[in-house]
Amino acid sequence: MSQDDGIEDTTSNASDDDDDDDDGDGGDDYDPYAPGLSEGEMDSQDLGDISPTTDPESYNYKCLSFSDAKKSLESDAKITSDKLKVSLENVQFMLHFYFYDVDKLEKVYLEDSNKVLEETNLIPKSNAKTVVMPDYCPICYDQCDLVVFNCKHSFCLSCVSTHIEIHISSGNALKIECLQCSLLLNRHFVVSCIKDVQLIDKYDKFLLKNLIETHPLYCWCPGPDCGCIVKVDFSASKPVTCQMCSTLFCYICKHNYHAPSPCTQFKNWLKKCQDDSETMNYICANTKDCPQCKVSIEKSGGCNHMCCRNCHWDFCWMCLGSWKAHATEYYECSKYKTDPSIGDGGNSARESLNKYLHYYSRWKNHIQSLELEEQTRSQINEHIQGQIKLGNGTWIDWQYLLDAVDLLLKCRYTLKFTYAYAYYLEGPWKEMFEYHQAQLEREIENLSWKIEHSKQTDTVGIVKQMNITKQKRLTLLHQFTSEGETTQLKVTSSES
Amino acid sequence: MAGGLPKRILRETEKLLSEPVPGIDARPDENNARYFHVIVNGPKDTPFESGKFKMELFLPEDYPMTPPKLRFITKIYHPNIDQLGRICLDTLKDKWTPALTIRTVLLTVQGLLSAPNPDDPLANDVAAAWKANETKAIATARQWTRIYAQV
Repeated sequence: MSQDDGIEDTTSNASDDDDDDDDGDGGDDYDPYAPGLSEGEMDSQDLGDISPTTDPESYNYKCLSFSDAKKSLESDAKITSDKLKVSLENVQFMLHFYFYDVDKLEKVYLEDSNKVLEETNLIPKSNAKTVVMPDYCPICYDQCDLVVFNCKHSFCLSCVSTHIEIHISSGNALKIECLQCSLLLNRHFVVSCIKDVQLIDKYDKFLLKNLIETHPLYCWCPGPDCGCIVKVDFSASKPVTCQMCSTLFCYICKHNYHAPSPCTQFKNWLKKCQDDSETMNYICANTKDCPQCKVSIEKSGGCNHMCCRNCHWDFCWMCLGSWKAHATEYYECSKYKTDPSIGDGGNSARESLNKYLHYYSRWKNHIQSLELEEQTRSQINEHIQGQIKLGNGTWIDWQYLLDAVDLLLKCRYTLKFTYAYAYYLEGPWKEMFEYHQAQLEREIENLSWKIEHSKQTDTVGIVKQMNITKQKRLTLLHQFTSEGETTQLKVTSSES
Repeated sequence: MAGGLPKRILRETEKLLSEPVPGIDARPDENNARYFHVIVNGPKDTPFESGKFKMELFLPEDYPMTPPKLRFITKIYHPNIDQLGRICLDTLKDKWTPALTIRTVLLTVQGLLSAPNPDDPLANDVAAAWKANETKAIATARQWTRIYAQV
């Protein structure tokens, strides 16, 4: 894209934009997706069929500071500005109006520049009524010196300033209009009307904020109190790790990075977990459905003779059969005694609940495992420090072990999200996914075991296991993330 | 009237009292010059005809930079007015400009009574009823006018 070309020059000094090897080795801060952490030298040899171009997680982005982002946006607009011979500021307004579709803006502008300027309210409407200059300010009715706008509307400076201040205070800097029509007031004019330096500063901040919030290739880091701005080459559901606060998020939905789950699905999953988990847990543990009308019944005490209050069906709590066959067995069920599995199943609501709980419990489990691995990491770190003090090798010699824990964390992280994904899967594709998932899980456990017993395991063993695990993870992501979905379509169509 | 009231409000009030909007009576409260008691007559040939609708209007501190606050006190069956009497009117929200006045706002309210807009509803149930069966909705609106809007 032409608009991106200019950025390299202006921002490359200020930010680390490449996923190269240097930045990952810097320190001890845990960061499962830090650029370069996994894309070390080993990858090129061991990943075989997965090249950087097909790596489903490769994503180019830059973390910019406020002023860098401003420069970057300006240099984006500069190209269009030069081409259309319009001021930089007006181009930024127009680009915003055209949702940053540069090609469309340039095409339409070259066809009819006045139309675009009018449409974006940068010049007064040509069909606007002629305005008679009043001898007093039409806002405060005071007779004083008036400021005349391009649309010929005129107001006193005090009213204009108040108007501008109120808009800035409410967070709007991009769309401050004339007090009487929709003509936009540009930065030059706005700044000339306000004396307060702090307010001008606020205005510039909001202006940039407004521009970034609507720009498809820029976003704010969702990390708490992080003012970092992320710029990407293209918008996609890919992992971004903020270089300032280390928050890992999905560029599209700004949630935790959630591969292999797609954004909407992951959102549904989160919602489901919030809505259901506790209630569902309780329902599952403490109730059974009436075999006749399927209403959930909680047995609060008493014997096995149940009478459904909803449909008045008499049944046995243990085997869920009709009570008629039970006669006097109030506290024991002979059918249940001979076959304890009787009474289970055959209930779709509970089946779907069980299905959900199956995935939910694993999801929850992996969240806990992840927390535990964090502890392992600090333990290993201590262990390494101790060994170095004793003179057993240098920090570089032990680096592989930290790399291994980082990889383990990264893999467990992905594994966690596979359960959210698997919950929504159906059919043969699901079988295939679960096969890969099981494989990944097994290798993760192997790696975890080897790390925990690192004193007995040799370096080669761990490095080997790391490569296997890494490979399994990438294979899974490769096949089942958005790029993989095309394969999925092919598979299902060839099957049907 | 209270001192320190902006010239603009004083002038608008004077003008509203000396040349009232036809069909609308708006006068400031004795104790608060920013609070207006408004009575709007239901426009002719509408289900609100012959009704007298009480409203309250308040000019916030920032007026005219921010729009006046306006609410129906009398119950009214209208797709753009909800149970609490709040009005869905763009000029009272994002379309407000400081060049608009109390007078223009009251005129738009009168216009809204003449032309209900069920496609941009505030009271969803009323708007749905209005769209499903306009004749019936108009009959209900007329009935409500008869019951509630007689001052």
